[in-house]
Amino acid sequence: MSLELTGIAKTFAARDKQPAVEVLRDISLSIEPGRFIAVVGPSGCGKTTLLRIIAGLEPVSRGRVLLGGDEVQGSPGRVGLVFQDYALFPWRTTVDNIATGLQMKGTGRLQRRQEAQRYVAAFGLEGFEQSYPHQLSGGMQQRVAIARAMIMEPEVILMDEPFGSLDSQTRNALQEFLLRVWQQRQDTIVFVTHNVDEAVFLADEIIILSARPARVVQRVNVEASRPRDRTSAQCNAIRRRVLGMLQEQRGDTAMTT
Amino acid sequence: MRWGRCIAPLALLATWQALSWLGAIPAHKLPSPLMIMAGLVELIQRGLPPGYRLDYHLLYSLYRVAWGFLLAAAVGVPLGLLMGWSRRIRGVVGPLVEMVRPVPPLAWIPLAILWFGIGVKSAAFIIFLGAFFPIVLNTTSGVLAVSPALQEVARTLGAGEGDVVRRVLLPGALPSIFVGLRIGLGIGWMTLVAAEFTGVKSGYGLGYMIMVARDIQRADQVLAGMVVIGLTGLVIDQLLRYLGRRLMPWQGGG
Ligand SMILES: Nc1ncnc2c1ncn2[C@@H]1O[C@H](COP(=O)(O)OP(=O)(O)OP(=O)(O)O)[C@@H](O)[C@H]1O
Ligand SMILES: [Mg+2]
Repeated sequence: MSLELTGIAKTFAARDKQPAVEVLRDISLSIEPGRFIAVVGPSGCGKTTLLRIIAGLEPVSRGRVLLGGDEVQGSPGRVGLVFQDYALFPWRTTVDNIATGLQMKGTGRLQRRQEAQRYVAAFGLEGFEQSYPHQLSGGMQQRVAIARAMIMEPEVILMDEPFGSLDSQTRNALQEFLLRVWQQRQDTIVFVTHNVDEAVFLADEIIILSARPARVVQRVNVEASRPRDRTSAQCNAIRRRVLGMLQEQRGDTAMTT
Repeated sequence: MRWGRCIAPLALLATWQALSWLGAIPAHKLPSPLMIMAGLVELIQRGLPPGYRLDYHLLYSLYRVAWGFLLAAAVGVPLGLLMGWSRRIRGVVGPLVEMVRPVPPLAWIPLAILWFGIGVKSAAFIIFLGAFFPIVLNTTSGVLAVSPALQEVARTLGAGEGDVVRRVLLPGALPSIFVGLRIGLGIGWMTLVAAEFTGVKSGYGLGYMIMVARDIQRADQVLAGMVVIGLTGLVIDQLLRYLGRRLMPWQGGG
């Protein structure tokens, strides 16, 4: 089931002496199932807002978001969310965090424990089933958060700079881990990142947004075959191209502000 | 390590006792620690007034506090949750709470007696007033401090409004709720003794007992009563802390 955005616009209304902010302008995208899409753009351009709109957490000012032909708003469980700061429930153990969505759905205790346990094993979290988030490393916390989203088998997984606060080694390890999981499961992933290297290493396609109000500047297909070598000439060339386009966008903002 | 913490208080007691023996502290103003101990033993064995034993005074006081405190928790925690959850409810109830809160609970004693007569009901009412506000306010601020991201994640995982309140806001606010309960119980305990001083008395109660001791000029028993009040407050607080640790194993340390 594909994800269709048609003519999305978003303006945050003025309030408390804050002027209205136009964040997104006429964004149309069609994302095929099973694709890994990276979204890059100048900081503050509206990437998070775009994800929140896709997740149905933020109403649009104009346009439509369709998931397999239906409006997403008010259809929980179809879209998975992963944040940079993990947003794990501090009072839940690893297993219970992963099983949260099943609990909301009314799945029995035993069954959701079993289901969650499968993710514990597949995500390298054995031995930490009964740990609380504050007892886990950042990389483990993020794996729990990804498992919590994936256990619901969502039609799209939205990730907002998920590896942004990890050290570079953990980050690389998690990138590879995510690719392995994705290749097995064939999820549809929309992955926001500041890091062009990361986008080039992970994505089938990179969507470059303009400075605010964000428009789609360019969609770049990453043709490099998998598994990818981060330092290959092909990756370098794509990286250079994307960085160039981002530079232009930053230049634009610099001139207007 | 633990014994190290006792050194200062023990030194203070020893100095006090020594000064009393030397006659530097007049016994009718401030009895020595040993005299206070003797007074305490007398309160336990004979009671004050005679026949009204300390354990009954203590039980009566605890009984009144329990009523007032449990009532305050039963109303305060749900109300605080609602106030944290809904801006509208906060807008309506908040100003009311802020208006009543500055009135000292003891100022309600005349009305309490008018409404409920002298007895456990009016005492419970006064304690309720003392404990209620810290419980409501801490619950509300605890809910408001729960990260919106957690609520959003829960929603995308299929949580309805009820699930958000029960499974996200309540556990998220629990540490703060416990702070409110501890403060509320502390204030309730202090309020009770003061209430027993001033009006809400009926033969039993630590405050009442202390007033009797004062009337017959027994400073040692006044002080012994104060010691009992202090120790009981400490024990109750430790119990709540223990309960909090058991209920919130995710809180490192606590
Ligand atoms: N609820 C809101 N009300 C008003 N303005 C908002 C709101 N949410 C976001 N904004 C504004 O919208 C703009 C885009 O924010 P957004 O967080 O989507 O950008 P971003 O691209 O994710 O930024 P970053 O690169 O820092 O992650 C910002 O200027 C922000 O101030
Ligand atoms: Mg963002």
